[in-house]
Amino acid sequence: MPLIHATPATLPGAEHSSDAAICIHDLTVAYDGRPVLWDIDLDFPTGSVCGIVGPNGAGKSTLLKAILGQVATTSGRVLVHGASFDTQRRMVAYVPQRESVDWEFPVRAVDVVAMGAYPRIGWFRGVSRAVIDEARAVLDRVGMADLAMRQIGRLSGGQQQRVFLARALMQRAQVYLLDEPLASVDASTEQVILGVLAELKREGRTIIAVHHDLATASQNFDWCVLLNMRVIAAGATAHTLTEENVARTYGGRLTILSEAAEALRQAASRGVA
Amino acid sequence: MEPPPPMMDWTLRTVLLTVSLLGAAAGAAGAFVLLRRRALLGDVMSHAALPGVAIAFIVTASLGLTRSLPALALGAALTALAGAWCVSWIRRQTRLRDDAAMGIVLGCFYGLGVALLGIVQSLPTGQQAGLTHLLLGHVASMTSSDLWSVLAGASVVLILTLALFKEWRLLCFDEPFAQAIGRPTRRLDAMLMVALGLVIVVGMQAAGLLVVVALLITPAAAARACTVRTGSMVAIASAIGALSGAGGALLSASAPDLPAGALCVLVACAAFLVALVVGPAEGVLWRALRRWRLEARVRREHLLRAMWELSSPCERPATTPAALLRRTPVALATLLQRRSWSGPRLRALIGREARRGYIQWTATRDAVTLTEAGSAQARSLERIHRLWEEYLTRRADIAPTHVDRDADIIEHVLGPELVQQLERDLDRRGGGATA
Repeated sequence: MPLIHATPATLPGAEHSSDAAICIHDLTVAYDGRPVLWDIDLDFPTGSVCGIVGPNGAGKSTLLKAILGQVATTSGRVLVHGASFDTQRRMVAYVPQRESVDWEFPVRAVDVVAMGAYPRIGWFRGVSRAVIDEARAVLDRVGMADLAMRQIGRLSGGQQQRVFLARALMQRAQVYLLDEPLASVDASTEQVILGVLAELKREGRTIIAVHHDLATASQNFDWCVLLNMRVIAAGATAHTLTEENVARTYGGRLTILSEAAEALRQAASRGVA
Repeated sequence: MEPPPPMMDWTLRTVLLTVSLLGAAAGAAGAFVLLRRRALLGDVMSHAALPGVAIAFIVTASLGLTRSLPALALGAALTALAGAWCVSWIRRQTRLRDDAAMGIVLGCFYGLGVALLGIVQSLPTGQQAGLTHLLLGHVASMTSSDLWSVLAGASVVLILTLALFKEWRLLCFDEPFAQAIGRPTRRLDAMLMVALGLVIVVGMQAAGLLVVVALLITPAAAARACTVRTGSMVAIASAIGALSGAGGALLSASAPDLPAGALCVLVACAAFLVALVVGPAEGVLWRALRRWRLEARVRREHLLRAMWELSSPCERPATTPAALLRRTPVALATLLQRRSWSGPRLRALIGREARRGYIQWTATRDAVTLTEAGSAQARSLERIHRLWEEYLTRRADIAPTHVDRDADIIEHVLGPELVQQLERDLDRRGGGATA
């Protein structure tokens, strides 16, 4: 058996295409000495709806965080429309996982949505009437006009997810990064979210979403990357979501790679103790 | 009674102003500390400030200087920050969680502080230094230098709060997002720690450790129960803090035997208790009231539905919709068996519905009849019940034997929109399930 038989659609070392919205080169990320992402090379094409698919613990959320510069990378670089994320920050909108915040926080839906406009508002200035009006309009776009003044803890899970999406829309970005936007939401929320994503695509923007459900991936995304610590396959959904690739991504067997990772982790934890 | 000497009056005013300002600043900073889920950190930093003051005093005394406020403040600030740093270091380096790390640091620094204060007492100038006031405060004997230091510290804290309100709210609510849009979260966090440290440093010298700790967290917690908006929470916490300070000072002026600091704390605690019970956002009272109202509604809907099911139309066959609503009387004895309600309770329930015009007693007063209004109400309740029951068996795969009980709990809170949705889902177009 070959050690690593990855044949990613985007070959490492190949010229990165210039029309990529996000371009990841040679990226490796490790937590506590345990590699989470190994040698990732990816070009997310501009104007497409891209899904990041893989089993639990495959490093899907970490990949988003690496794009956002929120995890320390061991090696590699990320370009957003040809330049580093730090200089292109305003082009990128982010929808974190719903569980990442405390929904009992004393704040109204419209105030959370307005947070998407903070970079435009700048320091030491309050949120103006105009921004609040814009936030209400965006809430209307996700079907929540009448819930704008409600405390966020009194919204259903799907409505909370829509608030996060609305906040990202307030950012007026070119690239939208979403972490599990469709996880445990109701059917109508799913329709609203998919509708908004389709609109964004029509406007030529790029969507990159972490997705947990293999069954719906082919309907929701036109470009997919199968991820399990490394890129198993990436490209147009029809070509990537093949039975063979899926089996390799979700395969239960420990590969040499993850065994090595486990050994490293053990060594690191012994070192601490 | 002779009027108080003018000097007393001046002292009282100084004290009032100082503790109110301190309370306002502590409330505002405390609100954000609470929202950042670091409520105990204020406690840790206050206790950690103690050894710093003692060390600063010993150092200045050995240099032949007298008690100097700036030196003591610097010492307090340095060890307070060291305490905060120790907490995060322990958390990063061990498997201990926040609470354990804070407990350890608080205990160590406090013990060190008390030991060092013992050394200060043994110094020749130590007795007059008044450092023992650091623990329980000396609110009633404040000086104008305390007022100036609190004024300066509180102004900085309040200006920081106003200037950074938007950013601090974002930091406390969703730090990863703040990072993603390029806000310097570490620096914002540091500014919050600076505000917290300022309150502790100036507050401890003016009012003592106990007062500072209480005014940081209690008003913020009280404010949390009063509002669902961040801005009003900070404002209310600030106001409660100021009022607690002022209230404590005024109370101690009329009862000079009681320590003012402790009175400030007690006023803040009272405010918290009041907010807990009647706070508009999370008051225990309102929650109890809502639950009681729902229970009352469930009871009355049970009665109307039972009456509907136990009665039949007066004319048979009921040919018009109106005829369907004219029902036969139901004996009280039959109703009693229907559910586990006691006789007096059932009578009370019937009495209330009779006043609403939904139920009438028969002439013999041993049976009741639904009025036409009551029948209409009962019929629609029955329809919702059947719809929900059917939904549970057909769509939610719930065993038929459990359906009636489950249907019971939820049907009382179904809104009209949900009922329409149920009808669509079950492919029903209008029409009562019992018609």
